[in-house]
Amino acid sequence: MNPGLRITAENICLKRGERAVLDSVEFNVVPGEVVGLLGPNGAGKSTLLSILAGVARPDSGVVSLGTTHLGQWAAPARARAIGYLPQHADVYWSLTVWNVVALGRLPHRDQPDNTLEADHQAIEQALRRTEMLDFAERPFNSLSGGERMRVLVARLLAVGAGLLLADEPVTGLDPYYQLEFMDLFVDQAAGGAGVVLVLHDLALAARYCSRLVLLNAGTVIAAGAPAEVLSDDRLHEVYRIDAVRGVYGGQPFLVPWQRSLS
Amino acid sequence: MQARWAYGALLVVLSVAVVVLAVVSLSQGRAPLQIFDLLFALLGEVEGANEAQLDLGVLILTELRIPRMLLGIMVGASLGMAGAAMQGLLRNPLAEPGIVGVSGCAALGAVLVFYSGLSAQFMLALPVGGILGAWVAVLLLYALAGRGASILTLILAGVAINAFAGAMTALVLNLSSSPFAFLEIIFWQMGSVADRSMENIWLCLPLMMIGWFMLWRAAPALDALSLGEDTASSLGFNLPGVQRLVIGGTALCVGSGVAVSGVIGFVGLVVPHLLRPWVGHRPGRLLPASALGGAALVLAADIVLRVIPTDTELKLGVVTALVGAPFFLYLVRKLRQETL
Repeated sequence: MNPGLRITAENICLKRGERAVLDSVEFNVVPGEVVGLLGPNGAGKSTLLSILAGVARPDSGVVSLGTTHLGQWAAPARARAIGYLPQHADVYWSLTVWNVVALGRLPHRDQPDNTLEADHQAIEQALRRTEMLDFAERPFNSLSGGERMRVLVARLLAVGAGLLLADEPVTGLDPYYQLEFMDLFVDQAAGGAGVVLVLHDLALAARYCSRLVLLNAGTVIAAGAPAEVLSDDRLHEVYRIDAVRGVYGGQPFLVPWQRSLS
Repeated sequence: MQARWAYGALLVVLSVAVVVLAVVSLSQGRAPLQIFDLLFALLGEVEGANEAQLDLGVLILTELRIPRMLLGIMVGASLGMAGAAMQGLLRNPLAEPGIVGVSGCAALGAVLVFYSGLSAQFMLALPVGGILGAWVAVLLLYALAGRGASILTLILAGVAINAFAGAMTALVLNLSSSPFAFLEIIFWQMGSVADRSMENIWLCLPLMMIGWFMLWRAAPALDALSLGEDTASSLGFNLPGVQRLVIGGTALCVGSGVAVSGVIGFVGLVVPHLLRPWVGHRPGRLLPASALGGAALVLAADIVLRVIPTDTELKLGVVTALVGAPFFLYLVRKLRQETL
């Protein structure tokens, strides 16, 4: 894996027509942390993530990776440093699972020290980590939704980037794999990567993320430790819900319970 | 790693097929030729044969059959590779230069250049006209059906572009006073590689080679595009650059090919479709395989039409359409069941 780099976004603004999708957003991630990017539908989470990935450009504001402006990174070097899994990711041709994951090695193809052996190992390791190695020769299109997501996450891991950006990576997975994948991302962070996850599951976010950033209508409402960010008032204000809270094994948890009575 | 071996074997098999078909192609025609004797004669090893007959044979070979064979390979490779590249860029298995109107617009460009008299003054004008026509058509296609559009959108875009090319061609026909105009235009509508000179080949080969090179350069990006535009972009590929390579490369090789051979449809549809399973559905690997497969298919079709005993020789474009159109119907039906 490439050493993780700090990514910093300052004063990010993006308009689509008259509507401000992102308005003066500040965001940063350091290696070793798992940041949950939360907010209701249409809050601007996916847009912010694509800007961090260098796929979309803000109207104004600066994103820096390490000490360098993201726009000044050569595209292949940026691709090796940042792994990105967009929302609704899909595969268009009937590629095998192995060949889908192998696409994650494309940014390494012109590296002088990259070998077929290194590619092979990275692909195999990613498939093993997502428990999809037995499916390696199966066509991607023949898999179930959850299996596809596991392959796409394996593709993300195969890049070996020090910063992982994943948009709803546990959506559509059964509870076992939701927990498995959250563990996987926590492991990646423990290994020195910075991780940003767009999540809708507040319980998972509160339990696994080291820090949460709550977006609403394009602005950052709150950022910090999960317990601070997901206060009753904010859940009411931003999500229009009430949550039930408890403590299990010394750890606080919350479960979205009902729509707020306004 | 077995796949890499299988891919190499596929390319070897296709190359052998092209070579065999090329030799068969040289031996087919009105005049019966002892093809191997003649090839040796060309290489300067004559062994007491009838020299006058040999000279005639050599003439037929160098003036008629070799250009025909070479043009078949060049046009077939261009159509196969361009079809595969357009399908990769648009992520749509029905994108084909003929179906989506690229060949039609290229023919229109060539016709316009021909009638304006530009081609008489300036040799390169004809392929350049074809290339410009093809380029406009691919740009239109990308504007109408780019960004992962549905199969249906692509077909509609093709209908629209073909209708445009048809209307413009009809206008040219309507306005032309020469009685030969009909014949000339129909000559471009029904593609053929017969009776072309080596001059034609030298004219379009360099342009085609640039086109092939551009398409080949796009191969890794087309692989990445299997994951959609955002992921491809995050893997370090500059999408506008990829679009320029594929659109420019297609226009160069299909445009210059059509300017010399006329419209030969469906090659870019049938060949990538048949070869795709053999390259593990990988868009990048499909490019060289489809180039070889396209060359083999056009050579084979051009042999078949010479073997079939008809009063007037069938045109190549007619033969490929006769085979390709039912195949297109079958594919549309199959894809409808899968996706709609």
